[in-house]
Amino acid sequence: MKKTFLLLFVLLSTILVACSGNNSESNGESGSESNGEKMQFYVSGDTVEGSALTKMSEKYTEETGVEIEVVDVPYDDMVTKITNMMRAEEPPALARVTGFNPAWNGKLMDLTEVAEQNNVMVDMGITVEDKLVAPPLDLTAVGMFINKSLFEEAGVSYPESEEEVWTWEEFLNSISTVVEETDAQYGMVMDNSEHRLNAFLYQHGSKGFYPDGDEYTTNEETEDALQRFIDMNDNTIMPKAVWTAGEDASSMFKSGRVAAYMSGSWQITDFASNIEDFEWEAVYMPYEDVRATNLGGNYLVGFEGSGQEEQAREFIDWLYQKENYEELATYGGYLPVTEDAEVEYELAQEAYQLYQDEIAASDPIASQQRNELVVKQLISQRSLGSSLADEMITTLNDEQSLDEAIENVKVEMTEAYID
Amino acid sequence: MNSKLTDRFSTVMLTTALFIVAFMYLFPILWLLLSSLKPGSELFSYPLTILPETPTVDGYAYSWSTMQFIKYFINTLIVAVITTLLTVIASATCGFALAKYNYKWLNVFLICMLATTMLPTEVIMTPTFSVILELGLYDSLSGLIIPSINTATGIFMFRQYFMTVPNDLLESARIDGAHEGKIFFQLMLPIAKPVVITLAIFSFQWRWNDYIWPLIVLSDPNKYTVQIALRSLIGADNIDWVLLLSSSIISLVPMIIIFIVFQRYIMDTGATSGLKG
Repeated sequence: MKKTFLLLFVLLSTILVACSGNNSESNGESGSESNGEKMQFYVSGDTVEGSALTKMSEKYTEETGVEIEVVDVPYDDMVTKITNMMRAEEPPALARVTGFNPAWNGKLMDLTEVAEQNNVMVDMGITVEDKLVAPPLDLTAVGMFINKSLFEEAGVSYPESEEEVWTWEEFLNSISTVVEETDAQYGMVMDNSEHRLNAFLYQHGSKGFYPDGDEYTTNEETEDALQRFIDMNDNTIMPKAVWTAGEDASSMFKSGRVAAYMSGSWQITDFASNIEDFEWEAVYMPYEDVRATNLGGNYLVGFEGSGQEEQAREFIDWLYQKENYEELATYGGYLPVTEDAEVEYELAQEAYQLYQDEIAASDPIASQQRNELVVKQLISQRSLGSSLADEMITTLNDEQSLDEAIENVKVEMTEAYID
Repeated sequence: MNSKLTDRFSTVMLTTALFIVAFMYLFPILWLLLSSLKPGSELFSYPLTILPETPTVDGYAYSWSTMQFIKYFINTLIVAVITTLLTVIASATCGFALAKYNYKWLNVFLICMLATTMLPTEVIMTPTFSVILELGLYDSLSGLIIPSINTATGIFMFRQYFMTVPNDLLESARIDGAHEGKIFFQLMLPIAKPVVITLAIFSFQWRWNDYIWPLIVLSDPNKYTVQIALRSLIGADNIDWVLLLSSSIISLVPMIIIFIVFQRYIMDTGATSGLKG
């Protein structure tokens, strides 16, 4: 018995030692020495997006012989993971990210030249101290979907061209009629997301929250719009549970019992594949004062200290070339970020076209606001989560007034970005 | 007669309650399984149906071809099996010492160990990560295994169990000339078989379901464990439910098989055998 345990112990210790493939030796000397090491490209959601980046990486390997390993990382933990890799002095060569951490500041490659050569929309990227450290890789925009079958059943029309775009008043009347005339349970749902709520605010003339002197403030329109948003959460126009209890807006819309859904371009591929019980359509968003969407999407970053900076730069350059970038956008269903791209989407081409129109007609605040906040994530000592969304949830739960919510957001943003 | 009736009535009631509770636990799993057999268009259609109208295993084929399950299973198995074996050995020896030796500082040691259960993993993660970095275990399976070996829960389970073993049993073994190693391996460990099996099942389950630690320690996707791979399917704004549901079921299979195989080993052993009444 004792011998068996001893043997087992020795065996386990051996396996443990064998498991310790210590990589710290190869630090900083990989790739460029052509020691057969693959270049790692950290992304999240590539599997869900038709493995677009994986396919393009394989194509690059075929053309150049340089091997790229696309590593799919859980979206919520991407920033944590990369920050830890940097602590271990083993950053990946490349990453596709939506958020940043102050620890990355000063350790990202300057990609200005590559982006300018390939007509990338640099104003949608992140520039710190005149260096473009994160050009956009793909673009998403907030938009509206409707359940066309319900609208037709209720005999309610909707704008089919930019000349007919509805106001929020007209839109709310339309969806109320649809709820009355059909067995629809709710008029609309909106993702529980500050990003979507901001688009709603911009459409009402809000300028979001911005610094004024030594504190953050906002304009009057923000309060009016937020009040309207609270009034809409009345369990008739909008179900309160989406914002207060985290019910999934997307699946509610897919159930066919909601007239409209304010979400974004990333849903198009999913809806085209997974909705069969009713007809859906992407429609122009309503507006009150200005037409606005809210841009999102991913940035592409290269890390200093990976030992593969040069290969990373060459790959980024290749990826942004017209033909390759168009192919990438087709696979992934992305809205393009290069000036001259012409993308032929496999599914719902007209829906993508409508999004392009929305972006073109949108107030500039749609991109400027987001980039400003992301830059702050990179250069501030603190990063702020979804302050406005969190405060609105508290307000919808009747735990505080709207004025208190707005005041709290101002204070939180001032503390995070100014103090 | 009356008492027989009462007995039967309470048995029926208790059995019914057992079935209801078991069904409540099983229902979400059953729904997951049935949903994984639905095509994407049926998942959210109204009214919701329990049974798939057009059952399909396409989701499984898609999942198997998309995810490198074999690789993830092997990695997770290596981590879970080795950690479990080492956890059982470390906890049993430590629990035995704490239960059967009388040194003043042992109790202080026990309190210190129990105190570690009061700290959530997230709190000790940063210092643990620093240690792993210094030891050069970053991005290796040992970096997952070594910090997970010691669990205060396991030590406490063994300690409490060994406390119930009469000291006379040890004394008689010592009188017969057995040394401490022999007493532990040939007497105490076999007696503690139910605890060994219970801790082994728990430990295996903990390691199989570990997410946050592997996420931080591993950077090479070839060393990914099942949970990291599964979480990777959840994108920023939308989720491929077809892929996620079928992948979740596939990831459950090894765990269920292991549980079914080892569950029958959980039995009670009389710790008083060999003692005169």
